[in-house]
Amino acid sequence: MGSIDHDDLIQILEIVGQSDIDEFRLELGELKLFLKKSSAAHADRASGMPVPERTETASLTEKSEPPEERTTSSGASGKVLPETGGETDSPESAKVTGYTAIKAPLLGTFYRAPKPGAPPFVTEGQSVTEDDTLCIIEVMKLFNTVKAGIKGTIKEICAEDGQLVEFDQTLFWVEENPKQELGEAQA
Amino acid sequence: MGSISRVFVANRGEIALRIIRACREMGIESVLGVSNVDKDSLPAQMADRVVCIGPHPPLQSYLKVGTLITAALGTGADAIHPGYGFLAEQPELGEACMHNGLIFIGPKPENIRHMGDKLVAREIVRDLGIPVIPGSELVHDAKEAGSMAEKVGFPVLLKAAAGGGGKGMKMVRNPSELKSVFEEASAEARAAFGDDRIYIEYLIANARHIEVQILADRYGNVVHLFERDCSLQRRYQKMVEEAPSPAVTSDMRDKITQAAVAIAQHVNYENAGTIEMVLDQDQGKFYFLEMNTRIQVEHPVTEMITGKDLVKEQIRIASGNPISFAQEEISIKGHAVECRINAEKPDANFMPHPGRILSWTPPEGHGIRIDTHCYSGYFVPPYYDSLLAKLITTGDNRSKAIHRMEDALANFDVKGVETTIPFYRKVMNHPDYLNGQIHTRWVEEVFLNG
Repeated sequence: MGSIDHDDLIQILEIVGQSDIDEFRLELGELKLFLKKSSAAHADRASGMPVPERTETASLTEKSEPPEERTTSSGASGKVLPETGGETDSPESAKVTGYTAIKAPLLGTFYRAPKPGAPPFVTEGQSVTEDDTLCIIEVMKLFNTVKAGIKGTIKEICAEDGQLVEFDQTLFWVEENPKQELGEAQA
Repeated sequence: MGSISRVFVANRGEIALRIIRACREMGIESVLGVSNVDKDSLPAQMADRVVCIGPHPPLQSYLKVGTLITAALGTGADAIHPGYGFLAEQPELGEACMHNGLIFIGPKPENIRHMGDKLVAREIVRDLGIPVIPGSELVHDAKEAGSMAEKVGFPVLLKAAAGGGGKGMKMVRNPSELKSVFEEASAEARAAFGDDRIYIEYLIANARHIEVQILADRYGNVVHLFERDCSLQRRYQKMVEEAPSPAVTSDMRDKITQAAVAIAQHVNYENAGTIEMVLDQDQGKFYFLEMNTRIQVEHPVTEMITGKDLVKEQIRIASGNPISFAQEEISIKGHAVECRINAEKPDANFMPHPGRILSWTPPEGHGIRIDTHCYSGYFVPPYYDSLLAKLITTGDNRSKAIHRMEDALANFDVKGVETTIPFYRKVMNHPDYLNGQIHTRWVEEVFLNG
């Protein structure tokens, strides 16, 4: 076996994808193939976070009532609103035990405080409960509050005060307080 | 109002890409607002920046004025291009732009308001001495419609005052069916436009749809770019367009282009617009139909015969510049034909057929233009219209352009979704089409019946 073709590559991807392997290295002459599962890769990026166990949840894109949506991804990169969409580009919308992304229910201007100069609704490390307001998103003088919806601790604030946030963009990472998880474990 | 350096594109699909390309050629940055299902679209890949404006239902994304304005302001855009469809003919978007210091690349809100209301437009045009189709102003109930129809003569067409795209438009052949059809038409108009005002028009049996493209700037310059013929329609939806019209003589051309310029001047129009007319082929007479206050789907055929870029002219005019050319600097060069390639099953009553395009191989070569946002692997979402591409061919004359279209269609290979390509291949070979002997109901009455 001196080289691999496209079909071989697809097979390798499928086999690795279905296995418990997190990383896969192959070297054949000049060809070097390195595969790393997204769950492992994400955990790496968010330093210190454990490799999470993924559980199933409804796809974000299928819902039309975003304010109630809370899905988690296996890692938060610190990158906020890059040119082409930031977190919203991530296909990751699987729920991860312990970490929950609070996403923007609509496009608008993100405000951390009820008015200029006032203290922010929340800061990193702060505990929140379901009804706590995390931020305001303004669209043409209409102010939409975003609630936590869960009990937990704010681990990261991913949007900047006064900046445009996109629909479905991750605004906060919240470490959920321990509770019984539903859903099937998945590779 | 200053110059434009960053345009927010409030549309999707091929027209979004068309606008982005025009911006790029002019050294203008583009920001595209996308719904969550359009994030991987070709225009999203081509734009300088992309923002997700909401979920896929248009009412929660592409039709939200406040969201679009916020997105444009938040991304530092100084202008919004609405494309066609969605908010292009809603005066609210232009007004919101004005209030927020943004330039709307299109006509003034009052232009849209006046010409968008068909009854107001009819009145304005009639006052200019330009013929309108014999008919009524407004009929309030079936009884009034009945007496008006007797006066005009059957068959008549019931039309929604706020209408467009064939909605709320019904044919009535005789007095006995008038009552039920009137109720249907007003219900449809109410559902589609929230406005159930109906008017009656004499039905021209042997009609061609002819429209004149105009450009107007704020300095009072108005030029026309000749006519397009969009007579090949199915259920009032345009399918094939061409320029110039095979049915328009040079004498007629002078009349309709002058009428179009007069209308635009009279309403102090600004930016690109189209005056739609009906040609009664039996009488050899023209009537004003309506004005479209936007760039149109079929604008490329005009660009191909005049060599002018209409989208760039729109941006120039919106920036406060005069039109870049004078009337006498343009003439008709050759002929252009356009087919709207839709993801539809022609054999199953043109049922939409969205889905994954497995392979997309468009034709190439001299005299072929294709405006499309599709590529191999692209998923055609089921939430929006089914237009995949506009295939345009040119030639020194009509038969050469049509011949090139036949060839281009034969070499257009799409796998994964069904398209209207096979339908157009048959049309391009039909003697009626080749001889220019069609009318606006030819597809239903002759082609699909035969």
